[in-house]
Amino acid sequence: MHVMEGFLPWEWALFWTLAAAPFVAYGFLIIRRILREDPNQRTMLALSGAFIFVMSSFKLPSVTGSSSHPTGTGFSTMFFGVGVTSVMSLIVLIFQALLLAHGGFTTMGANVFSMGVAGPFVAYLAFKTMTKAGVRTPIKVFITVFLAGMVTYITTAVQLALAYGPFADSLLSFLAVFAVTQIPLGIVEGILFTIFVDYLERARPDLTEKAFPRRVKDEA
Amino acid sequence: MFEVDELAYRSAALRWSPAGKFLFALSLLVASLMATTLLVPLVVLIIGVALLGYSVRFRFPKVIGLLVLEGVGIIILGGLVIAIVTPGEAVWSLDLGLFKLIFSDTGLATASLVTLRALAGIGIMLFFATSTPIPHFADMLVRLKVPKEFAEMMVMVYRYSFMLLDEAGRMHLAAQCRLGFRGRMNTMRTYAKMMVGMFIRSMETAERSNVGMQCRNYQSGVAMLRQPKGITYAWAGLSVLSFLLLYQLNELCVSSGILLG
Repeated sequence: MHVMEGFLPWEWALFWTLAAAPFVAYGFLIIRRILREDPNQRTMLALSGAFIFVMSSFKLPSVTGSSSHPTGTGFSTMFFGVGVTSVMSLIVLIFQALLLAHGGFTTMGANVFSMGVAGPFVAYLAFKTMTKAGVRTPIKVFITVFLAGMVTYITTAVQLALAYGPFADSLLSFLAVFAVTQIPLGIVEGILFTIFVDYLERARPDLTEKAFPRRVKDEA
Repeated sequence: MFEVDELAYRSAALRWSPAGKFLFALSLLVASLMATTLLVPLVVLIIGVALLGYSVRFRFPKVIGLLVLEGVGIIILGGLVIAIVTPGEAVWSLDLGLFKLIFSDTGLATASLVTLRALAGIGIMLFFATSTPIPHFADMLVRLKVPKEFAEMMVMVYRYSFMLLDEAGRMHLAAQCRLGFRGRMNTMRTYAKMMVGMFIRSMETAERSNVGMQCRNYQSGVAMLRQPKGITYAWAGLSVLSFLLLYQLNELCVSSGILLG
């Protein structure tokens, strides 16, 4: 769920655009560096972006009876890091605005900040901490993906709460509305990616080697 | 998903300058955001619907209806929360047993303004979406001096999305034929397998595609058969003029107390 066009007052829209800009610029510098070092990575990066976009079109069953779709930022964070994820999120959000009329132009900065910066940043920190602590891959994947989704929606609720009403009451109300669909969705997405990484490790271990180095304990 | 893209290629406003359309749309959206009266978003909504109608040659396909319905659902939910959380003098309450919803005068005014702004936003966004294909948007970004690597990445993601979606469609059908979506857990396993299949195939396609592009001496950049028009002074003037007119309209409404949000 993104902040729809027209939902943020212009001051907040500008603020979130300025807040997201340095992260996107940093991500872009990383992408530029990758492309300069190895131009062959261009197609690989583009296909990864396309994969995230197509994946976000999969409708998953939700506990509330509705259907939702994964964001893919948790996966992207584990495989490519926060910088690349922020740029990919911007591209996916532009596509969603232009192909599905989801989100909007004036709320683009706010949406990039929640989906491409805050969520992936917290998820990346958790992922690195768990890797250092030697947490098993399935648990690590589930928590990373779940956190990426949850922090995204908490940030969206904060953005709306800052714009409307007394902050604490407003935040609680927005969180309560989002929680109905987003907590089940976060769990479903976490399980989905845990199975995904498990299958991928078995089918193409060379692709997962960098993000999930195999340990003797895991092998056992 | 790509019905809107197909509409954009058939749009009556396809040949309009993408940068001009973008600037005009942005000026209307910002004017609507800055407004404190209901009249300005209402005017923007009317302009948006008229432009959308022109763009689709006044034949509204089903996909537009579905997108509007989905958007309206989210807008109403958001508006309802804003109406409840905004403090003010209570004018109406709804007892739901477990809790009581209290709507204040300020809350209802803010919610109606935000709802109207969001509806105006949908109208303008749909006009832009149904008249501007992604490659035109990328070309506009290049003209606006956005780093060409970004625009190039965008076009490549867009083109590969078609390919992957086609592949995903085939896998989905095959899984459906094998009862792969029977039950929640089975559905999850099938989706995970589909994603792995797509991911591996996309990597293999990337490797093949890269060789193919190198063989054709690909030098990066956004290439198009027919280059879209660039922005003209007329578009810039129209955007500034419409923004100023809407701003003045808002001031007039505020001073005379008409349709205040």
